[in-house]
Amino acid sequence: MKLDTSGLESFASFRGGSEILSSDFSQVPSFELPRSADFDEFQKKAVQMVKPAKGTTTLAFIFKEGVIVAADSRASMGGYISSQSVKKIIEINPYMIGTMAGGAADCQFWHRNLGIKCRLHELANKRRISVTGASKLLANILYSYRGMGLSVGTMIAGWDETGPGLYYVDSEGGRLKGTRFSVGSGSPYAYGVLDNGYRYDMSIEEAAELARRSIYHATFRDGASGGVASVYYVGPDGWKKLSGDDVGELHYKYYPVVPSSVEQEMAEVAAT
Amino acid sequence: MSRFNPYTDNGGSILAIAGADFSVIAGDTRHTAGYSINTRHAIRSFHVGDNVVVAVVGRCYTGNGFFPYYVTTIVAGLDERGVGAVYSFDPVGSYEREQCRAAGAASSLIMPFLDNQVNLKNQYDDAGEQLVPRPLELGKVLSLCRDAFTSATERHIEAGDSLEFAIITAQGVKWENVPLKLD
Repeated sequence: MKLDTSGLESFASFRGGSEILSSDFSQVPSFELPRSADFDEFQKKAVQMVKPAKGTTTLAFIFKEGVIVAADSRASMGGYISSQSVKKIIEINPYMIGTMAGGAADCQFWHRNLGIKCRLHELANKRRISVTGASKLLANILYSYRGMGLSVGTMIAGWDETGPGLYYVDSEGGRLKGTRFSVGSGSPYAYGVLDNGYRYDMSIEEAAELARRSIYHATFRDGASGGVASVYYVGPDGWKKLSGDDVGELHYKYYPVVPSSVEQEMAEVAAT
Repeated sequence: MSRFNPYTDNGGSILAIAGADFSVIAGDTRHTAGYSINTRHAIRSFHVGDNVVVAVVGRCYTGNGFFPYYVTTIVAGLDERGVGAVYSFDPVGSYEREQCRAAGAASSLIMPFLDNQVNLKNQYDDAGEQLVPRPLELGKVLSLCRDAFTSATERHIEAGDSLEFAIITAQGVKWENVPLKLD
């Protein structure tokens, strides 16, 4: 099989035809499209291949004391678990964190980019950016790249002059304000536990436990979620990591092994 | 079923482990296209200066036009405190610092072995407590790399030929080569 390495050639030769015509204009960088009958399918296939789409469970909610943010830590490529130690809660600045669902690189890169923009805002205006402002900054960037293959599903949580803030932002252009969100393949399971146990007047400990339990149950039912359940709290003094528990150990915490004797079981069978 | 596949897989695997004051990056040197072996001496690790070695495995884009290289990258060296550091990247740039990482064709064979032997995952003492991983000696790291690749060679058709090591210490980068099975 002969390797076709023509794809590695420089693109210089594709640029404009006539030197005389184009010399006055600045050349727009361009590239040739793949020779394929169905470009959309080609692109979809290639993007899916390059971008490890991770199954994920992330959640965040506002309560009396602030915001709780939690996530799992698994990254998978098909059936292979490529990492059990992904940081899906991204620290934007000491008062604001974002969550990662969708493309890992897209989330990591654009959150860092958002961090830069927030810092510049802080220097220009001598005050920290609001969560509303930061989430809109991100949503506008993502919208400007809409349809170009970005894959981001994030929650921006923080504390600003108005108190706790929570927004859901995605690469389809959506931006929602809310008090309770869960994003990712495990979100239906997390929502089930979260909605059932949520109260506005929880203590920080209760809220953290609810978040942890929601993530645990999501990792239990969603094969693409797992690893460590991390819980962060954002309060008036900024964010703080509260816990990081291996969900394998959480299982035995939530479902302790009950020692049972054979005699007992046989007695039960006899009784029924 | 997909009708086309934009990339050809050239096989090959790489692996990096960080120690207390060194890091090791290892990669096999087989380059394949399907069942055929293109070369037994492919170079996957590169000394990029400043005591840093970068290793890359991936696929070549077959076709015309712009599409990203489909590669996973591992960077190994020493951090600002002189402690061994391994950073792994996915094809589009998300990254993470780790104690060890395997990438490429046989990564699914090597990584579980590393989890068990380097990070002591699922290993418990007599009291049932999880063993605590400690930084490994250079000799132990080298033998783990060798074992990982000799075993991967036994079970993966795209692994084999020879194993190229780069040992990164404060003194510089030392290269070593160990033969693997050629079948």
